Amino acid sequence: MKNLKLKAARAARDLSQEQLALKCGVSRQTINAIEKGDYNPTINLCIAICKALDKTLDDLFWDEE
Amino acid sequence: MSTGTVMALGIMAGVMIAAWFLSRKARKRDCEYDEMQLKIRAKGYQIGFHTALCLILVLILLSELDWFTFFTPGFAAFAALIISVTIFAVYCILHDAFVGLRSNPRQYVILFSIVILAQALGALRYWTAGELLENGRLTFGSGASTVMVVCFLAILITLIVKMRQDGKEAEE
Repeated sequence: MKNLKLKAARAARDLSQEQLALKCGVSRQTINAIEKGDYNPTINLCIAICKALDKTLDDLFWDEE
Repeated sequence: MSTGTVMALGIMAGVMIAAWFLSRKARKRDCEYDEMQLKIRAKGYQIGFHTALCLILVLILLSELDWFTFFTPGFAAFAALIISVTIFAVYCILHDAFVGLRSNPRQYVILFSIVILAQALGALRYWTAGELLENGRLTFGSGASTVMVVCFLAILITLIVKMRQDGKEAEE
């Protein structure tokens, strides 16, 4: 399932996938895979992404449905 | 000591030095891949290992049935290993886990091109001299370069295609 919240949060900060990847210490392809829902990140990476985007885990990774 | 024994000892020493060097490099390299890449690489190793296992089983079968009519067992074993490595590399490239975080894919393109060129020169020598087959069979000495060229070419083409795809994806 696509992670549109992550994509929206990244776009709101005007960050490219490459820039977010650099901040989190992963490859651009990993960020792309997470946004497309092809890869489930570990909690450590989720936290790193949340910190980079100044969001909470609930904001980005909690599916309410 | 016979030439064969010296050669075998030399090969063994070479393999041991290469294994020690690679294990040191692998330990250092661990942090160069992110978590998704490490997971994919683990799967790639598994696929490569299973491929090697299957091919070696086929070779044992061929050997038992005495069906080594087109190539020698030495060549076949080498080809099986190189094919397994190629499958691992292609799998990793297709799943974005071949190139490390701080590595440039262009470096690999240059490296593989040099390897292909060097091996192609070696292969060409046998092709032009008409010495590719010995007693109608491909031997390790004559066929190894050709197999290397084919496998590295497959890896190189996959890498270039993937680089172009990534470039387009990054632009979007």
